[in-house]
Amino acid sequence: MDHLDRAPIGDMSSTLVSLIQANDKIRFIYRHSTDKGEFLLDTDELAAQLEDVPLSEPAVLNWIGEYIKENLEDIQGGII
Amino acid sequence: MKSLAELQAIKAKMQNKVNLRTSDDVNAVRVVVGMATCGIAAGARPVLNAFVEGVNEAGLNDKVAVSQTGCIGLCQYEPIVEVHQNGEKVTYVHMTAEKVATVIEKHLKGGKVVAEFTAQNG
Repeated sequence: MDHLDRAPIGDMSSTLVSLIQANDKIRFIYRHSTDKGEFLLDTDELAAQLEDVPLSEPAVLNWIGEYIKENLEDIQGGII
Repeated sequence: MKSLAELQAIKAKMQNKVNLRTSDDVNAVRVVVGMATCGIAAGARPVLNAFVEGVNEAGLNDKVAVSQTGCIGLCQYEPIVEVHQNGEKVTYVHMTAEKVATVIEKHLKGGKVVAEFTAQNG
């Protein structure tokens, strides 16, 4: 982040939630690795837990947003 | 810490609710929010979230589908929300999260278009 050519990535949690909301049948795999650790989100894993409940269900989307935010803060924190 | 087990809890709660999807209903309403870069820059994400939550809380999930679309071509009017019903389309412009509550109440529930929020021609 200190480098001139490395612009901030932005709000990944909201971005991914928007993508999943509109495309709940598409499998998204998001891998975010830093020196502190790695975070992997695979929507197929979430769908397996939910069975019939679609990923676009509001309660699920809320959960996904917070899940991503928490995990990214753990491995990176601050502005990503 | 969020855990996958919480998803199980959400699933269990959903089993009690009847979740009908709107595919066959001719009277189904489609709410389309413009989510291209013009839309997002103008603040369409809170509008989309307000619709998703509002429709859910109003219990209209089986009658109203909320979806996203790309650039509609009226970027100066973003955030734009289109409401499709029975082959007709109402276009709301300069939407905000606060206005969403009014649209849900008057249009989606009450069936009356909120004229003040639509595009004015001429």
